[in-house]
Amino acid sequence: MVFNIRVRRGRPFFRSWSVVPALALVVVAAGCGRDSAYQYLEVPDGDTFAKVPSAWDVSAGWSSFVFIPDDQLNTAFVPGDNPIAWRAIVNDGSTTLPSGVLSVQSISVKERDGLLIGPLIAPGPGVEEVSRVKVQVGDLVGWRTVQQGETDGETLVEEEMILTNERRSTIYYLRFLCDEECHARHSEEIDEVFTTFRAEL
Amino acid sequence: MFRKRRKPADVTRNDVTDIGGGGVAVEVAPLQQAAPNPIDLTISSRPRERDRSTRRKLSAWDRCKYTILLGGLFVFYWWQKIDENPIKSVADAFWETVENQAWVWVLLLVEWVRQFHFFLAERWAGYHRFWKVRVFGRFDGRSQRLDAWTRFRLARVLRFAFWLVVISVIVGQFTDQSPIDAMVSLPGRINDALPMAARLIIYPLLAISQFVAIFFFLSRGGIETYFPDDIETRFDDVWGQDPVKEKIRENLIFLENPDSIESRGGYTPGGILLWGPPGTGKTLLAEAAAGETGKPFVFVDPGAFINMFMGVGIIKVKALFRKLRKLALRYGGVVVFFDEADSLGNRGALAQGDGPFRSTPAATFLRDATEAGSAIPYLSESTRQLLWQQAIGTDGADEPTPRRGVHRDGVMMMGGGGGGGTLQALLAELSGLKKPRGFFNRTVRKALGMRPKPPPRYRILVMMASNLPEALDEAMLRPGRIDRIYKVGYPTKDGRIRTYQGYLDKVQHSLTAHDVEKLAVITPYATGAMIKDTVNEALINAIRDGREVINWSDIVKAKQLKQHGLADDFKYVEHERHALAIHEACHAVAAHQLRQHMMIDVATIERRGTIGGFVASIPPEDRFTHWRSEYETDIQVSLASLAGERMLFEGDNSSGVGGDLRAATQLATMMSGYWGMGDTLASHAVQREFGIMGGRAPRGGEGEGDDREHKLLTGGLGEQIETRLRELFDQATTLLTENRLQVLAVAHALETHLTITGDDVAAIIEGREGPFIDGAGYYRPGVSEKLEEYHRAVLEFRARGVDELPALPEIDGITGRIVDSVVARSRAVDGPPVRAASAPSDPGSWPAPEPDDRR
Repeated sequence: MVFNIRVRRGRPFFRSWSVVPALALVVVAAGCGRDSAYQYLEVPDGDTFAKVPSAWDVSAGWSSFVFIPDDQLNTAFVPGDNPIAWRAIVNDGSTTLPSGVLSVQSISVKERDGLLIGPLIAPGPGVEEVSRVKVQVGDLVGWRTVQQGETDGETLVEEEMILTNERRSTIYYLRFLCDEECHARHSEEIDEVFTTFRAEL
Repeated sequence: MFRKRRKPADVTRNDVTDIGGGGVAVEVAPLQQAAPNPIDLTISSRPRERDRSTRRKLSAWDRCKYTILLGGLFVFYWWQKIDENPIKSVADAFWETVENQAWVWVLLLVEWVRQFHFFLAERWAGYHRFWKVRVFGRFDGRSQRLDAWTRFRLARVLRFAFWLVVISVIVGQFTDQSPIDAMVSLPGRINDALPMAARLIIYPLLAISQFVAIFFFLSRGGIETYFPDDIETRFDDVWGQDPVKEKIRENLIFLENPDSIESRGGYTPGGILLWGPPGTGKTLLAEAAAGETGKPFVFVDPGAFINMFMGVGIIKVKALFRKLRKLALRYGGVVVFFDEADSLGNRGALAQGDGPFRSTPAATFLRDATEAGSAIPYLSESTRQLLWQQAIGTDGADEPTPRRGVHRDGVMMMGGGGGGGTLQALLAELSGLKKPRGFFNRTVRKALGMRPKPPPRYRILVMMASNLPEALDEAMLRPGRIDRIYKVGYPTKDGRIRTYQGYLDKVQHSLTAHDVEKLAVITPYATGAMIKDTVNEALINAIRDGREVINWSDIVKAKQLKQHGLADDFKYVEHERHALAIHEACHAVAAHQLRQHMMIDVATIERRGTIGGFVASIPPEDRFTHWRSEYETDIQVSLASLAGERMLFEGDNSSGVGGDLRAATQLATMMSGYWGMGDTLASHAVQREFGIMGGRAPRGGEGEGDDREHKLLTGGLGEQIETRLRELFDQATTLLTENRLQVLAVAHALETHLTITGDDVAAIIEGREGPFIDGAGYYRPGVSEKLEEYHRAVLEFRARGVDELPALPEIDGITGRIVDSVVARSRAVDGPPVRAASAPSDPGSWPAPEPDDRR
């Protein structure tokens, strides 16, 4: 059986391979001016991730800031600890002061009998209102705490989340400090920061 | 079920085709009965790159492969962004990748520009011509102005820079640095990574290095490089090979100035084979070529490619030619010399699976020729050649196809040491594909869609020397590999004179120009090495005799010693000595009286092993044709011993004539059966081929072997041979009867001196004064009676066993050992010594002696 098929010789220009790079160029060129809604923060060793709105001013980097003092552990840092926390300072642009801190610090349990989270989440001085919720982020468990109090005549709202792994060898600490007005203005964004935080063991 | 496909034109409306076993029938639609479309069967060559007006179109794959590669790379980075951050959205990861991996887009842009350039060049001849001629063509033209070596070095630098940039970009990507910073930090990083890298590299290398080390050490040696001025030998130091010298000089001229022939459309001849007997100066010629040229000279030992392991030879060949190419670029040319090239082997010989001499007749001939007491060596060189050809079956119809420029007897040699692909590797290197070389040129340029650049023109002059050109592979000798084949044969008479003069100039001697010329005449197959050895032996003779000056006798003694070997310290009993002397004297007298194409060199009855004595002859001049009359005289000289013995010993004869009769019969057979010198015209070669008229049966059939000889000798040809031998025997008898006194005189001289020169034989027969013996003494009154009386005494002794033979009669001018007479005469004729300096070395050996008659 013979079919009288017309053989197509050549292709229209718009169907040739040359259109592929052209389209790719257009896509890339169009996307070059696009800004993401979020900026992503991560510990350089790659085990904690957070994302904050792009509008926020973030100064991320290593810091010697120590948020877990020795007295809370009832012992000094021991070999295996990482006393240097990673910290990102977040500012919403309304003040020159740090509006929030994202921080991670690891502590070895090899030299300790145990690690109590209680003292870490105990309300500090001047705290008028505390709400505490137990949370689980992946395999990590801990508490998300909102504390409100007055300092120097200004009402501050501090949200923090302290997570630890099952072996309690590492503490992940996420803290955001803001005045009442700021907190009210960015409550949804702050909540998204806390809920999207991830730590990979 | 397979069916032959039918042409559409054959299908008609009523065709029903069974398409399976189920009996399903399909009615085929009607077709127009138009002629099928003509198929264009014109075969045209694919146009060369230079003949194309536009660029060759890229395939779809080549068009997009780098786009796909870079796109894949982008996806990889995108994926990595998604994977490394679990909270990052796919879209955010995409745009972050776009932003961070900008280099991918840069490369993509470059690739697309390149493809666009190709796209235009494939369709727009003017555009293609502009880039090809105006841009790249000019660039190539300018780069060609640089010499090949500079281009080679510059290309290396550029390649190094290219890879450095590539590595810097890659390292920069992995270290979040700019390529420049990465390049700066590269040494430090390499230093830091060394321990780990070394660990990763060393362990596998340890395993590999065992093999590498073995092959490295096995592939060493056998190849030596000499640079200009390392070698002092020049063409002036080579004597007697002027024609070959001139042709080699021609090669060197073109090697030095290749433009002189290449600008005219030719090419520099790249290969020379020097072949010929040992000691004729082939290696010396190559050495002189090395000294004359301003190019490096690479000497390859004969055993360089003979290896313990398979594959080492190939490595050596490749390494050799890599070295040659480099030297050719660096110095504008190079000469490589393969000494004893037959060691490279022959692929065809491997298939023979047999030894050097697979032919039984050939082996028989060689055995006969070398057998002590054999009469074959008595024959002249040309006659022996013919008998040899007959023995190995290369006569007439059996003659093999002649090889280009090499005409030797059909001796098939062994494969040699160049097996295991070595020979093939050598053939490929000598004239293989003109393939582009270098990783960058072949791989990187090709990967970028660019045509690899052809290799530069390497000017490598390959010289080979061999005594056995038959052992060389046919493919090796083809033009393009070996363009010129020169025989370095025995020097001509002028060449021998020049060579003798050269070596004699190094010592003190009393030889005149006439003596040197005569010396050249009586040593027709002397090579440079033999001549050098003879002069040195003569000097030893002179020193042992307490002299500083070489004289004629020293030279003659040296020649005889070298040519015929040292005589045994053996003393014959008198009657046997006389019989032997008569035997040789008959040969000598017949040879002198009959032969015009040969002259007697020496006659002796000094025993050498099982050879009692012989008469050696030499051709006075170089000749190439031989006549019936000459062969008849050869037969008469052979039969003279039998004729003489029967004449002088009252019809009796010794068994010593057996070899003479065999040689005479063989020669007569060849004359009558093959050379058209008999009573019939039919060639026995054809009779043998078809098995007729007493010839053997066709090959492989019955009747081959002993039956062949039987039929040969009992048939018509046998009768012809016997008749001819009888006639020549009678003629020899007549000759000797007429020269009875001469026979007795030569026999007396032989008994007296044991060895006499050819000139003295002639002097005795002609009754004149010879170089060492006064032949006139035999023709004085009363001398013939003395000789006859002594002969009768011997006959009586043999017949009746008398108590004692009388003493050998003393003849004036004859008596005394030849050494004494020669020395005395030499002292008398010695002139002032001649001395000069400078002579080259020339290794070699004496040729096979050419005695006329051995008993």
